[in-house]
Amino acid sequence: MAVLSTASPRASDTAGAPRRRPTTGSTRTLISSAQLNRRSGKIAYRIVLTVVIVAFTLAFIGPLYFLFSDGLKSTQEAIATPPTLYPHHVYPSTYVQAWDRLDMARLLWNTLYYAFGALAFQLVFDVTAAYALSKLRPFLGNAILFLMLATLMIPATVLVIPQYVTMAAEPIVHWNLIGSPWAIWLPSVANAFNIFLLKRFFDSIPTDYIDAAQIDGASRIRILWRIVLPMSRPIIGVVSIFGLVAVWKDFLWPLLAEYGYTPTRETLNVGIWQASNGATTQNLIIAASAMAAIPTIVFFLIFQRNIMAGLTSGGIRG
Amino acid sequence: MRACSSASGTSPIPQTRLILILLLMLQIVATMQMFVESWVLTNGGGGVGDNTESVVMLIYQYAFELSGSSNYNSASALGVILMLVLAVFSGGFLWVTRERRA
Repeated sequence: MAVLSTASPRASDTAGAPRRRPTTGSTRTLISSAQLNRRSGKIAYRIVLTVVIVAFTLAFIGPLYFLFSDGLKSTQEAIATPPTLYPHHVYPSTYVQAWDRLDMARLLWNTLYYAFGALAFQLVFDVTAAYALSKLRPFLGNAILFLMLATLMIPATVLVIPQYVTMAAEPIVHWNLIGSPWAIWLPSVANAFNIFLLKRFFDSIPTDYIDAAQIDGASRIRILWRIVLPMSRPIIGVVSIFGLVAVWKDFLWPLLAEYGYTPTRETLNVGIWQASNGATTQNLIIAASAMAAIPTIVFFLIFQRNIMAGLTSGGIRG
Repeated sequence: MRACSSASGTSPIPQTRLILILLLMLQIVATMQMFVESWVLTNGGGGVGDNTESVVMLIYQYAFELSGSSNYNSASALGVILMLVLAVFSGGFLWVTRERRA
């Protein structure tokens, strides 16, 4: 099934082919190529293509456009009904005001701190866990892997309350980690999906390399560091992107774990939400949201290829 | 593939059937866990007459808002109920849409 897989040669053929359908093409289409090559077929094809492209562009770009343009409007204009299509008077100073008023520098720093901290913990623990399950094969390793995969079946939101209670009083040591960065870093490590992705990639590395290194006297940690990790750059990139983005866009958990401290410990999402409850005007909130979105948009544009690779390696492909 | 399907007179939609069913199911399961949209747009209130209250919002309110004290037991129980509902739904959905071989 070539629907989502960009790697299959047939799919890449269609992507690169000219718009005219070849009569003897092997592409799977709903309408036969004979019908498409008729004059009426071509016109209908063009119309449908244009409508689909325009509709999808509007649906995806439209909200982003209003996100950025509403931040440039005056307070009155931002809350006007019906909304104006473009800012009649442009106030770029709204962005500066929003940056100062919402303490965006602080929120941005908090979010980056949580995201990269979580990423560091995930890389250390998830990689070693996947390496152990894939190559070291401990006693009951498969049972442990099965239990990890079973947690994927549990909806994430169901675990929020137990996770909060656990973080508020850690078992055995009874520390209250709510309000500290650890409340975000530690739960992010327990990510069965990342471990599974890494494990599957490690499985594909031939054991011969590891045997050869073992004969040369390398320790297991050294094998991981010098042989497995350099070969696993693509999958580590994918896992890092997932890890960063998950912390960046999460709302419910940072709301529970980091909300309501002075000086603020909130992430961007929670900080902007809190400001929207207060006396902050609508256009400031929108400008702040736009600024909060910029890093992720830039991030996506840079790592587009890796993100796509990660999505297709996620198992939804036939 | 094309020649084969046009010879038997079927459209290629059945070939994408598996992925369509899977995506539909995953989307329904994800939407059942909606929280942020209602919460942010109604300031955590659930809207007029709780019209936009979602299950996860109710879990949050049980745990941190209703009846003054933290009612983690009810909140967790509601979470388990949500999980069971989703599990039964997913199982039933896959059973109903399973491939029938004559």
